[in-house]
Amino acid sequence: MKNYKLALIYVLTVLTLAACNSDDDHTITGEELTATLPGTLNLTLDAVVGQEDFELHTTYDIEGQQLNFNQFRYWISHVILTDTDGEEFSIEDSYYLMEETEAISIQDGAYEYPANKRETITLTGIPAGSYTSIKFAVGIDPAYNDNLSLQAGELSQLNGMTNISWMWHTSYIFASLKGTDTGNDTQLQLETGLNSSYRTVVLTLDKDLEIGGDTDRNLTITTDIAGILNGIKVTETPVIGASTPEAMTTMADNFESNTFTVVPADEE
Amino acid sequence: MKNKRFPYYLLYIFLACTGCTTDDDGIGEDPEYTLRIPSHFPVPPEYPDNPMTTAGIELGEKLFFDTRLSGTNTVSCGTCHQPRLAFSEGSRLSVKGVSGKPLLRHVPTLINMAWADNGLFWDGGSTNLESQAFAPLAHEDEMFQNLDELITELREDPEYVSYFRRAFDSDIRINQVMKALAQYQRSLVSADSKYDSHIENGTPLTAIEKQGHQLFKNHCATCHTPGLFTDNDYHNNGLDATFGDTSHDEIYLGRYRVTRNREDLGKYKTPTLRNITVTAPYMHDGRFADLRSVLDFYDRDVQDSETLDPALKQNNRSGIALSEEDKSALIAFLHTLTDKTYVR
Repeated sequence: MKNYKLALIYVLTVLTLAACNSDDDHTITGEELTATLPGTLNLTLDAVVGQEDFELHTTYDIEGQQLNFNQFRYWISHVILTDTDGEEFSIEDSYYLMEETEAISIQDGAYEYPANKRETITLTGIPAGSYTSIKFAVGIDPAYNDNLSLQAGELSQLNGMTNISWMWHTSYIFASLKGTDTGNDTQLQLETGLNSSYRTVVLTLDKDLEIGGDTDRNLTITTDIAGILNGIKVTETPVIGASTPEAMTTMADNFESNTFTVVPADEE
Repeated sequence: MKNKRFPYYLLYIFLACTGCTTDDDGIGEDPEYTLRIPSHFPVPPEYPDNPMTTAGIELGEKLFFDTRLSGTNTVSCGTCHQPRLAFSEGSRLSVKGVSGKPLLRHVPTLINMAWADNGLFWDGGSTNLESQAFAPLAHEDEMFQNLDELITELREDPEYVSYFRRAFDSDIRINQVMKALAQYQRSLVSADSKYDSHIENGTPLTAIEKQGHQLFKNHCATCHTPGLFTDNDYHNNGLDATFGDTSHDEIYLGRYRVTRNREDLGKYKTPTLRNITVTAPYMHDGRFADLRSVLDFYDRDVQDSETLDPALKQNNRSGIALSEEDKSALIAFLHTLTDKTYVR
C-alpha cells in the first residue's frame, strides 16, 4: 500500500515538474535518453570593429569617421536554440546585459556603476541535442519594457540602462554606444530604445553544435560596431535616441541584420 | 500507525503549487482586496502582475508619504500630490522638488488611477504606475533619489522589513517599492460627490446645476466622459497655434514626443473633472488660474491648428460658444463633482 502511494507520488511529481518545463514540445528520443543530461553553452558575443577587436579608448575609422568609445552596452534577451528537428529550446529568464564600459555616472551623478567588460554568458540546462541555429533579441520585449517593476534575469533599474529620465519615457535603453567623434571633437550618445527598436536576430551555425552532458560547449559570435553604425553619419546625429526616430530605426535595423556573425567552430 | 502516516498528497499539492512560479515576487498573507467599482463606472482593467492586497496598499501609502524616498529626505510623493487638493499641488509649476527649480509641467491629480490604462504623465510617456514612479524618484528636479541607497535606507527600518514581508513575502527590493506605490494609488477611488449621489440615488440637483449638467452633456462630455470624467485619451484642445519650441527634450510638443506622430502635436491627456474645484490652476502647464478663465478660453481663445480636436472645430468656429450665464451654470455643475470624502 505504502509503496503504491510512494510510486503515485513519484509519478505525480514527475508529471508536475514536466508540466513546468518550457520545453514541452522537445521530443526526447531513446538515443538522447541514454546519451545524456542537459548541457551548458558558453556564449561569447565578441565586440569587434570590422576585422579589428574592439577596445575602449581606441580610435577607429567607421564610415570615414574617426570614432573613439568609452561605453558599449546592450541587452540580449529571449535566447532560443533550435535543434536539427526544428524544435526550439528557450532559455528561461534570459535577459543579459552585455557591456564594455568605463565607470558610469548614474542618475546624473547620484552614484557610480563600475567599469566592466562582459562578453560571455553561460547558458545552462540545455537539453542534450544537436543544435543548428541560435535566435535572440536585442532589447527588451514590450511586456517587460513597459513595466519596470517586473523582474527577470538581469533586468535592473539600477545599472543606467533604463530611460527613467530619458524623455521621461520610462522603459529600458536597449543599446548604448558613447564616446567621441575625434574628427570634430563631438560627444556621441548613440542609443536605441522604445518597443519600436526591439529586434530579433537569427543566426545559423556553420555546423551543428552538440550540447549535453558534462562538457561545456562554446559558441562565439562577433558583434560588429561598424555594422551597428552602418549608414549613420554622426556629424548629423551625434545624439541618437527617441527624438531621432529615423537614425534610431537605422541602428535597430543594423542590430538585426548587420551586426552579428557566427565565428566558425574551427576558428575559435 | 494510521496517525503517523505522512500526508503525501500535501507534498504533491505543494510541488504543484510552487513548481511553476515564474515571478519571484510572492503575495503576502492577505491577498484579498476588492477595489470598489462604482455602479456608473466602467470595468477597470486588471493588473495580474501586481494584484492589490491590503498589505500592499498599506505599504504603498506609507511609502507615498515618506520623505526618505527623496535624495534629500525632505520630499515625499505626497509633497506634490496632496490629499487635501485631490492629490494635486496648487501651484502653476511646482518648485517643491529637491532642486527648487520649477518643473516643466503642472502636477497632475491622482483620482481613480485604477482606471488610467492609457498611459501616464500629460503625454502618456509611461505605460503604468509601476514604471512611472521611477521618473519622479530619479529626476534631479523632483526627488533625485539614488535607488540603491533608497533600498539600503528602507532595509534599516524594521517596520519596512515587516511591511514588505507582509505585502510581498520577500525582502525589500526596488521593484516592490514601485508595486506598492502603484497599489496604493489604484486604491484611491473618488465617487462620493453630489453628482454621484444624483446618479445613483436620484439626489436632486439645483436648477442652475441642472442647467450646467445639460450644457456639460452638450459641450464637454465627449472628452470628459462620465463617470470618470475623462476618456483617458489625448487631445489638442487649442491652447497653442504653433509648436516650435523643441527645448527640454521636446516637452512642449505634447504627445508627439512619445509617439513621433505629427498628428499628436500639442495633444495632452484629458484630465478628470472630478474634484476640479480644488485642483486649480488648470491645464498641463497650469496656465489658467480658475474655472472661469478655462471657460473663457473655450469660448473665445481656442487656437486653430492642424491637430486641433474636431470637437472644438464646429459651426465654422474654433471653440465652444458659451454665454456668461452658461459659464456660471457649468461652474455650478462642476462643483457637484467635488467629493468631500476624498478631499481631506
